[in-house]
Amino acid sequence: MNRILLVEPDQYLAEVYSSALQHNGHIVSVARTVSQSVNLLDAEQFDLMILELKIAQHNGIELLYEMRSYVDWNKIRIIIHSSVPEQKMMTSKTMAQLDVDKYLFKPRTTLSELCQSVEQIMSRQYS
Amino acid sequence: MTAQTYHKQQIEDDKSRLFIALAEQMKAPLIKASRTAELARMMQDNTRLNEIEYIADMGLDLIDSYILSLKLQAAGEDVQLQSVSLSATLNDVAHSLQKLQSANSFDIELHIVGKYGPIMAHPAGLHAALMNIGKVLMTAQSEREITSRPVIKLTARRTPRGIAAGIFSTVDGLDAATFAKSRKLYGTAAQPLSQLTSENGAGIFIADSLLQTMSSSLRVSHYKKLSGLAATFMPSQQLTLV
Amino acid sequence: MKQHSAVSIVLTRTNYGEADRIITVLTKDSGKIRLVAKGVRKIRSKLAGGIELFSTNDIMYLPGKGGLGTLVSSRLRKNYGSIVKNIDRTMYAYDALKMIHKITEDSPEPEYFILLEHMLAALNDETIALDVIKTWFHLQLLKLGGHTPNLMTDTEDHKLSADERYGFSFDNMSFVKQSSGPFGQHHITYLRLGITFETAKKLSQVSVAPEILTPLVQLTRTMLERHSRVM
Repeated sequence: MNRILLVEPDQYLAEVYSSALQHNGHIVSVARTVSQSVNLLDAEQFDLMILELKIAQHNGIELLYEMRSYVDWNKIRIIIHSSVPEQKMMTSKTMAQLDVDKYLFKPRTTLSELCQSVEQIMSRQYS
Repeated sequence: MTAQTYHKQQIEDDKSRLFIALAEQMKAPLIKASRTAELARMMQDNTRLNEIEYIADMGLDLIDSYILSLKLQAAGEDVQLQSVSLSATLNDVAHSLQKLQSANSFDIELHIVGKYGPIMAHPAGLHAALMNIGKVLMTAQSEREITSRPVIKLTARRTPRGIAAGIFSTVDGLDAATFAKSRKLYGTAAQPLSQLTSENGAGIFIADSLLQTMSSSLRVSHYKKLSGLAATFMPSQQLTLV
Repeated sequence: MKQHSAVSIVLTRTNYGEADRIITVLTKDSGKIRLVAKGVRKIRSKLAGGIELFSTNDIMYLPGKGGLGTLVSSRLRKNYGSIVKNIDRTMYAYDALKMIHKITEDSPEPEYFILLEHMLAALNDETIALDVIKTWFHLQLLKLGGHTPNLMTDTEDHKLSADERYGFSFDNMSFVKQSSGPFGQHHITYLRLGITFETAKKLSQVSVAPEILTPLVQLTRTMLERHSRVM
């Protein structure tokens, strides 16, 4: 059972993704804003973060850099799950530098694929 | 390039950008519908299918308002403006937004300040514009951390320049300079209204396009510590029938 | 010990112990400095804490042993808050900070600070297209590093011609005549302006078609990667 922080500003989608992940046996906390995410990261232990980059007022890139500047948060695996296409956003080099495990393009990623990605990354983590 | 040619080019560029903004925005309801269907299958829960209908209708409404904006623009000076009761329109819009309320848990309030006659507007265009603004503000509110019960206020009041219709919410972050910049960014930037909402906010720009066909346009405004968007209309010269 | 003051821009932040942060700042007159900012982790807003990225700050600090000083105070001078409203600009801002951090030694010239300030100001101005900022910034970095491309003559020392097409030789940092080369007069003119203009804002006032500008972003980026330590 993994603890997942889902950073998703859309209330409806947050509920859908959260339901699917919980159905697959994970514990999910939802953050809608960057400051809410930081507060949750401070307060709880997470194994993985699923991150939408398009967030109001601040954005997911900022959160990503901020996270990776804290050694104690570096163990948290990261899946970017965004409606911004990968090629528009970051190179494989930047993904490696920021230790992003996977970049999923939201319009083309089914719930099953999202859950499978979580399983793959977490099983790599523990093997 | 002559001024006329430049102006025509500008209009075509704006149309392309608006189309791109719409197309990007349409991904949101389609993603929601698709994932909801998948979740319903995954959890063998058909009660979610109603949500798909609701989501699809949201998308269709947006497309319809976009098409209307194109038609009104194409009509140009031949747009059929009529005497429209602003308070009646705001009342209709409030009721329509109310149907979204159960999903979003908002208070929808109507504040009609003073008495005045009808305004010159395109009835369907005005209704669509106000609905789009209300929906974007409701989305923006739902993306915020909840500190108190969110409220959407629809207002009408007389100003020196005419009759102003506005929609306001507890969402902060919208100012005149940001909004002016966002008008140049829609269709190109991923988040032209990033201070307001994570989404494209295409509904706002479609609303703006609709209002411009009625010789009005959106501006950032404030009402009793709330911020939002408003547009001003000319009073109708037609006698008010009581 | 005497406190020092500086105008600074934060290049990097990492955490240090339970409550502290180590920041590397670029200053106008004192080069690059590493400082411990004590107790800032206790501040709830991790995104600020008085040592924000994408801002110019007036700092007071105590120099320390082993190249690590202590931040005494920080006052925000100018915050380029619009950058984080745009994902693409946020991404590039981080890239640019990384580039400056890698390129500069511990005692960089004041020009690097001025360039970084101009770059952040440009990113903060949504009226300046991002590709213009990138092209301008890359060229300015090349210029400061002594790697200005040759925009006057080709690899055979012939004056660049408005009627010719060119490729680019990264070894020579010059254009090479190529009958179906990707670059022509407009590209070269724009590069010359990018080198000359002190700010991206000025460059943005020059009208340029996307098909001219887009390849220049990649061209100037590759020049930097080949001749500077940006990657």
